[in-house]
Amino acid sequence: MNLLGAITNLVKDYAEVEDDQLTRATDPVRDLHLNSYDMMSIIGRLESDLGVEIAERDVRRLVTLGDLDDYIKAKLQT
Amino acid sequence: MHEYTYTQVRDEVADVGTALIDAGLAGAHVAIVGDNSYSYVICYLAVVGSGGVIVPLDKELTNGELADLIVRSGARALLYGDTFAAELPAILATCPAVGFTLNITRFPTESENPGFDEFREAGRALLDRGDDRYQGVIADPEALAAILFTSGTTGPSKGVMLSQRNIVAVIHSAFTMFRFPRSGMSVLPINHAYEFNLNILGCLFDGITINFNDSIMHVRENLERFRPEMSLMVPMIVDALYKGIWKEAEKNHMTGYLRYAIGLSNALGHVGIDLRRAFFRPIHEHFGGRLRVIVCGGAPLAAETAAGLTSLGIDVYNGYGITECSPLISSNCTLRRVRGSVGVPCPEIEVRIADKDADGNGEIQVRGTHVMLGYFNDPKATAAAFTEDGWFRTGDLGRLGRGGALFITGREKNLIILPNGKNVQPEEIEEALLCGIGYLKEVVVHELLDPTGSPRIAASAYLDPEWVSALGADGARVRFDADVATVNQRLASYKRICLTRLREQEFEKTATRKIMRHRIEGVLV
Repeated sequence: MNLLGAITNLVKDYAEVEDDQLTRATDPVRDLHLNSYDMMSIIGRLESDLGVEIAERDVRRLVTLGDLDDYIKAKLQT
Repeated sequence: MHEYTYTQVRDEVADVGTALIDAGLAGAHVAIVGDNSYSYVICYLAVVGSGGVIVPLDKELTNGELADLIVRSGARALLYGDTFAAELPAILATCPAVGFTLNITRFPTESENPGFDEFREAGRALLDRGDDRYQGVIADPEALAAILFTSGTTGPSKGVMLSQRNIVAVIHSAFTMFRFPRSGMSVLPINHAYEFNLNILGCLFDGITINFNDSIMHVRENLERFRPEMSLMVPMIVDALYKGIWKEAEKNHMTGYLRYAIGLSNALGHVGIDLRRAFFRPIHEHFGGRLRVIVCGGAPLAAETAAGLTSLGIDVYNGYGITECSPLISSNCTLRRVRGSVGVPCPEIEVRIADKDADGNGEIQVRGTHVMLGYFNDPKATAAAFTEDGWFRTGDLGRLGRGGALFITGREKNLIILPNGKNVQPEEIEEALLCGIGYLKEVVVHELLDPTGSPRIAASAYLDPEWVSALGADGARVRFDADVATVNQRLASYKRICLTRLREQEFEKTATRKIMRHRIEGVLV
């Protein structure tokens, strides 16, 4: 499974949505009505599943699922 | 994981306090920003213990917002957590008065000079050579000890001035009302009065073990790791924990069993038999197995959540406060709980309801030893915050009900209080939108319920009609949403607009051309 797939799978644990509602452009707070604690929990789970460290201060720059995908990919490469 | 004793806390506060005095910072205003940590607590206590004024800042603010508050607070030093190391030059570029910085993260990933331990050891060396300047500091309980900024950075944001007497009084009040278990977990942002004064200082006062949650991303994991017996939380987290229990039950086809067990447990509870810890042990294991008290504040908590968790064996006590009152005003507590209320007023606080309507609702006003000294460098706002006879005007509406309990019924101010306890001044966001979007004629930022029933920050907007007709309604909507997203990028994450609504007509206004905010459809008041 690609990284975006892993992210969308996790998001589905928090929001009742269909796959086709989840794209790189999806803003989980604005489009799926998740709150900031949900988002933090999702990112925390991605941290432990993927073995990357995500600084809380960076999270505020990540708005869409695509932003999150790009950020983690960059982290995995460094 | 690192463990520290109370003796270490005492000694290390003296070390850092001595080093601060030696650095010429005795009595200085010192800003601090970073994650919840042991070294944050040491630094806070050392600043105040050396006669200084601590200025805790919200780590979620943008660099520009942090710089603005550092300047406005008159801070001469900045103590910062590791995550700010890379951004320090950008923050300090507009803070010429700051002549001292220190990375306070005990085990930093970015190497800094001097680091926290090097600085502390320098203080220890001075103490070992007989330096007694720190011990010689005599605390003035009435003097300014902390400046806490309420929210935002523009006009409405104010620096709440608290004295040591204010802070000690609120701890005394809280620990008179509660009998807390012996192990807690620090989850909420440590710069908030609610977290620092009541949880951190309260636990130190009562000899309770404090476990630091390293990030809001890891609350569940850290509950399992540290196995605390209590924690202070905000409704957003408490709701998530509660909903998570039911979601897990649904996944395991246990919803019916859980409902039956709750009914049986409640019935036994009515005849004085409390088997909640035994009945719901598998649920408690998800939270470490020992969590039995959550104190919830910062924003209104749904009565259903409080009652639901209490039925499951985790007692939830909700209260009410405001930074200006250090922050606690009232709370449900071990001795008395009144459903739907925010509890009884604290022992060191008097509450009165002013300008009551026929139902007894009016503005909640308070006085007592918790109440702030005033707003920093803002005598006009300070004067406006107090009545002529010396009561602090909270701006919240409520009534005193059965058993003297306080019930909140609304707010006089426009302030938006989010479920995570963050306060947002709508005027600040409106200004950002109006400055950033040229075709925006009028806008009101307010709370609006999203489809899940949660309050969100929304913007209702009236756009230049000529611009709209040139682009067409759909085109205008797409462009407006894109421009709001751009403005959002410049705001702290919790201030971002989640919902937008476009109007075809101007807002209804008063005779003095002020928008009648309460007339906006769907606005939560």
